[in-house]
Amino acid sequence: MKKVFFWLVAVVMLLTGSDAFAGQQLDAVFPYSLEKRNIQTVSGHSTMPLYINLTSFDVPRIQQAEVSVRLPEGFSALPKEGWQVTKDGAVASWSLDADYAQNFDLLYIQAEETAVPGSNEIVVSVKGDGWEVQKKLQFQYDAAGGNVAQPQEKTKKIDRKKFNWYIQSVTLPVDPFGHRDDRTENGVIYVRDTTLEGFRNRMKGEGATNWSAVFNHPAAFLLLDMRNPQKDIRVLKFKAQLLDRVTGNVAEGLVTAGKTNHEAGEGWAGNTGEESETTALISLDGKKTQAFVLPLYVDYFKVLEGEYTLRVTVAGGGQQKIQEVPLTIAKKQSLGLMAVAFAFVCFLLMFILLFRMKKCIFEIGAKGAITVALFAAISFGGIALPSTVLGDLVHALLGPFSGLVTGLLSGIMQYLLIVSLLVLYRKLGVLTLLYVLKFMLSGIMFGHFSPIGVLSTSVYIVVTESLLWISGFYTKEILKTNYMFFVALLLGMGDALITFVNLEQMMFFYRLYYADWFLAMYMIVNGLLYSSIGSWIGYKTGIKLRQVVGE
Amino acid sequence: MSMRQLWEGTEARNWARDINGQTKLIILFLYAVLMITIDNPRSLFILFMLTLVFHGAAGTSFYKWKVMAVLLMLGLWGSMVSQALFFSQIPRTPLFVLVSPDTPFLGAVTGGLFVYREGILYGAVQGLRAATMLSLGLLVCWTSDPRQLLNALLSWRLPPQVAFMLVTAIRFLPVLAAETGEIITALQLRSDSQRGRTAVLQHIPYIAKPLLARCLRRAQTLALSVVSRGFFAAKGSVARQSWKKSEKAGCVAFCLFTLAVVGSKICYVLSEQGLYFGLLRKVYDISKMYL
Repeated sequence: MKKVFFWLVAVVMLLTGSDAFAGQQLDAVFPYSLEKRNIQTVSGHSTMPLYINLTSFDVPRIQQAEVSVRLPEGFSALPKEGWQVTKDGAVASWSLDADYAQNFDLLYIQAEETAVPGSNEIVVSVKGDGWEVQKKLQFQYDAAGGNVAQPQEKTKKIDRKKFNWYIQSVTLPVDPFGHRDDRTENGVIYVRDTTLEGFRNRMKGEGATNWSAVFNHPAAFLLLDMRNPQKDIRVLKFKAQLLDRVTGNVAEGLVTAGKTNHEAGEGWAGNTGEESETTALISLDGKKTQAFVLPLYVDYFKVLEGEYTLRVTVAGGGQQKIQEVPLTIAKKQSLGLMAVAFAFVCFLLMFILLFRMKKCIFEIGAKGAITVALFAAISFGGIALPSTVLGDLVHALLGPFSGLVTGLLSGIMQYLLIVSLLVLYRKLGVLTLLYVLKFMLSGIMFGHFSPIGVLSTSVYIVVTESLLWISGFYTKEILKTNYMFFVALLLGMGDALITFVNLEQMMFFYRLYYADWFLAMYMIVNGLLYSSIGSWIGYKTGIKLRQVVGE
Repeated sequence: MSMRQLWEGTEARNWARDINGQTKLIILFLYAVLMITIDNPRSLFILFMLTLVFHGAAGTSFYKWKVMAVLLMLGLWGSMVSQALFFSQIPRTPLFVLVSPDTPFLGAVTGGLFVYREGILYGAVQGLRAATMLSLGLLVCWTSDPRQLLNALLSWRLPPQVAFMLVTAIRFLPVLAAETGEIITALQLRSDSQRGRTAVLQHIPYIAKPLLARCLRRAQTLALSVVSRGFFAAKGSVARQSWKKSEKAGCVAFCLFTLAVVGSKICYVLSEQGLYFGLLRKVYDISKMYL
């Protein structure tokens, strides 16, 4: 038994090291269509692809194979790298990998004037070391099928060397079925707002772009209208690029759909090796006119809004046709809209607090009300006034980073006043009163009555009052140090949110641009850091001031 | 000219001062709405120039023109600087590099920081919005007494207690400023270094506590005085400036105009998103060309 098993193993090992199970499979299609359409007829003077696919298996060494294509009379192969065109066809030498090899190619065959109408045959044969496979392909030739054979087209002299397919027009945006919606502006693509995603990407590092979202939802569809007077069948490469209108350089923004692989895991790999362009393969299937609906994929993380030129390149068989159309990319201001919507909600909620304001005044009494008024005066004189007068100077010197300096006032000083006042008068509405007075002082003294001012004040009031109310600040009997540390942090986080909403509002209403890292820096430094520090100092100051109140 | 005189509205021509506070505040607010609605640079510039014409007509003094010019220039410059750095549109041409994308940490975080030529121009155009509001705000400020604007707020049912608090805040602003000066002097005198006796900035962190303590003491005194006279609980009765019919009509007309501008702009933006009505084609055209 053991001997039998030993011999079996030995035989299997010998066979696997030899050509005993070797085989070759040849597939050839003419005329070949990318869309796998079964085309049997070749039109007059057209160019058609011959598809050759050779699969070799179980040969444990690299081998050379001679591929030869024998064409019927009146047909010739177009020159192609790796192929030698002969009188009656073309030959090529392929190197087949060991064990398993798959080699394939497209060879374009052109019908000459001498081609015989009717049934014709192409013979494809591949010869290797001790083996040969052959395939015969039957097809019909219709000499009158092409435009060139028609007398009315004689005025248009067609240069056969150029194959004569061309781009008639490029239209975008269209729907997935290629229909143009007249209500939408021509040549404008709206891409979604990815500020938050971009912010997250920066925090997580590169590669966090949600490629499945990008490739499942193309930014737009493009209608490519092709003309093919010779009724060629060809596989062409489509390429769309964004060009900077001033420099003419290729701009970042478009991407090519990647494929799922094991390394990238589920979804899309994203990295296709083709930068800043959307590519696709299209197939001319022998019609005079053919329209293609192609998706344009946009890397939302990289694309910038603005005026571009969209360059569409269609290439194949050593030739390329280019058409350029103007394109505008506009970003949807979703986050800005959300910020404004949030501010409007705060504005409506503020009315509830304003109705409570009068009750609050009577609760804290005349002394409390006058204290709030004087604190508002300090807030205005010590924060708003210097920010207005000196803020512009600092702004001119430091540009967008001026806020880090003025934030010392609007962050630390502001929250110092707020928390020290709240330590003295812990009532819901005191904060509202302070902010309303400050806003009115700015309005009366500087004429700062604007919708943004109203909305910004509303956000301050509602967010801060809500956070203090939720944290139980107004109901706590004693304000312990640990708890106040938590409140200071909470107010800092609240101010980070307020900073974000107000900056987004500014960007939305004043059409300004700020980078996502800049927003993050402002939120962390101006919002969280300065305000937390100010709140903590305010708590300590408030405790000291209690002694004055108790005098 | 002192800081106080700078913010007073006593030098303006009579017609500007006589305009009701309500009219001024309504126009100021509606103008702000227009400034955030309009995108067309030419229209923005016209609206900005209009505010300067108003200043000329109101008789703004030369000194105040100079102050305003400085503030406007600084504001516009700030806007240009910020947008030159963050301009995020194509085409954009980097003039020079502040932080290279290859710089360790900063380059990775910021993706590089460049000064873009197109951003400078964009910042100047967008800065017109803030500049216009600053100019108009200063006009209202320089042609109005604070009481006039306070009366306007009272006309809009501002609670008398809040009005009292507002007046208290305004009245005590100069007093608080003087007290801040005194505290700084005291801190300078207490300083044990020669530099500390002249410096101001280094004493600023120590101003808050004594200043707030004085506020609390003042509030105690004032509250006693106010409550003893029954002033705080009483309903306020303020002599209000009459609001002329012509001014009311002007405000209504301007309000309707602003609503029309905002409405047509919203229609145009909606049409870009696919909500298109053929009937409004002329409105879309006007919005595209002028707004």
